[in-house]
Amino acid sequence: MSDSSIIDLIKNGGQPALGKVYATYRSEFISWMTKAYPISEDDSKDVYQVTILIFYDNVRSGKLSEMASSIKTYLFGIGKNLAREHMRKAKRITSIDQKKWLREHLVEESQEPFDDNVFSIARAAVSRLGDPCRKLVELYYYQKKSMEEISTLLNYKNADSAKNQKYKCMAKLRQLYHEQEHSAQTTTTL
Amino acid sequence: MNDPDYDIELIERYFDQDLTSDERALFERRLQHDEGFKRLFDRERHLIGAIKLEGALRDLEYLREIEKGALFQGSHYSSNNDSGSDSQSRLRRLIPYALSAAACLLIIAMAIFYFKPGSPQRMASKYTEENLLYLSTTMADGSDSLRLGIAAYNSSDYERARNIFESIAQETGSLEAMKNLGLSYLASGEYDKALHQFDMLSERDDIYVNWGPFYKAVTLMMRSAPGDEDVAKEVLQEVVQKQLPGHRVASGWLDRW
Repeated sequence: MSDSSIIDLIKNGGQPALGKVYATYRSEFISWMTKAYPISEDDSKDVYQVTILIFYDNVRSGKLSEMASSIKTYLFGIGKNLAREHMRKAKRITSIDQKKWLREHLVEESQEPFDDNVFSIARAAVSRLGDPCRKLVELYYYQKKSMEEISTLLNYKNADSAKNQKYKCMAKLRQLYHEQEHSAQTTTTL
Repeated sequence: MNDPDYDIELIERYFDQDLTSDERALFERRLQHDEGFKRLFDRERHLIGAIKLEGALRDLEYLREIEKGALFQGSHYSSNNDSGSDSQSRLRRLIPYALSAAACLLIIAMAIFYFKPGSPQRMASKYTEENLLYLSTTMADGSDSLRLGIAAYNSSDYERARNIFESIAQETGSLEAMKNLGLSYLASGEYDKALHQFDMLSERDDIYVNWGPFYKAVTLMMRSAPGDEDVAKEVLQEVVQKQLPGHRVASGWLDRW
C-alpha cells in the first residue's frame, strides 16, 4: 500500500482500516524497537499500539495533510519519543501505561494538563451517556467525522439535523457532568 | 450580565472551530480575565477530552484483540506465524465467527420484518430516540421541582421523574408537568398512562403551543395495538391540518405511511 492510499484509508475507514494500517508496519516496528531499546517484545507492542493511535489521530485532525517524511519514518519517530519517555520516567521496571500515554499525547496534547478530579468526573459523565449520543459525539470529537458523514452514518435527515442533535447530546453530557459533580461532592461531605 | 446558555454555545462553537478570527481573539481575551467563563471552558475541554479518551481506549482494545489474534485468526493480522497451520484447524477456528454471523443475520432479518422501513412504529421509535430522551432545562419555568424532574428524566430515572411531575401537576396544574409526565410514561413504555396525559392535554383549548395531539399520535404508533395506527393517522392528519406542533414531522410520516 502506498503512503497516500494509507492516508486515504485512515480518513475514510473505521476500525477495519485501523487494523489494516496496524498490520502494515507492525513486524518492522517491533523488530526495530526491541533492537534499538532495552524494551521487551510485549512492551514494544504496547508502544506500537499507542503510536498507531497517535498517528491515526494526527491524520484525522488534519495535522498530517502533507507528509514531510514517509509514514514509516513518522511512526518510528513517535515510537522513539515514547520509548525514551518510558525509559526516562521509569526508575524501576514498570509496565507501560498506555492509558496515561493516550491521555498525554492524544487527548491533552500541548494544552494545559487536565485536572485529575475534573477529568475523572468528565469520564464518569461520558460513561453514562448512552447511544445514540455517545456514538455521535465520539464520531465528531474523536473520529473527526464531518456532520455530512455523521448524518449518513447515523441516518439523520441531513448535516443540520446531525449538528442539532450534537448540540442536544452535549447539553445532556453537561447535565450528566453536573449530576456526577454533585454526587461526588455529596459523597465527600458524608 | 452574562448569559450562561449563550456562553456555552460560544464555547461549543470555539471547539467546533466555528468562530471568526475576531470572535476568536475576543474569546481568548475573555478567558484571561473572566473566571466564570474560564471554568465553563475548562469543563468543556475536559468533557471533550473524556470523549476522545473513551474513543481511543475502544480502538486500543480493538488493536489488542488483533494482537491476540482473536479477530483475525489465521490471517496476516495474527501475531503468530501461521505459515505452518493446517487448513482444518483454521476452519475450526472460523466456526464460532460463522455462527455469530449467522445469528446476526437472523436478528437483522427479524428486525427488518418486524420494523419494516417506513412502519409507523419504527418512525415513532426513531423520533423518540432522537428527540424525546432528553428534556431541556432552559424550557423549565424556573421551578426547582420541575428542574429536578427534568434532571431525573434526563438520567433515565423515569420512576422518579414520574413521581415529581405527577406531584407538580396535581398541586399546580402545570401544563409542562403534565406534558413531561406523559413523556416519562412514554419513555418507560407505559403507553396507556402516556395516552391519558396526552389526551388531557389535547382537550385543552387554552394552550397556545399544544404538543398533546402529536405526542398522542407518537404514543399510539409506539403501542401499535389493534386499531392504533388508524387512530394515529387521523390524529396526525389533524395536526397537519391545524398546523399544530409537530406538523412538519407528521406530514413527512403521512407521506411514508
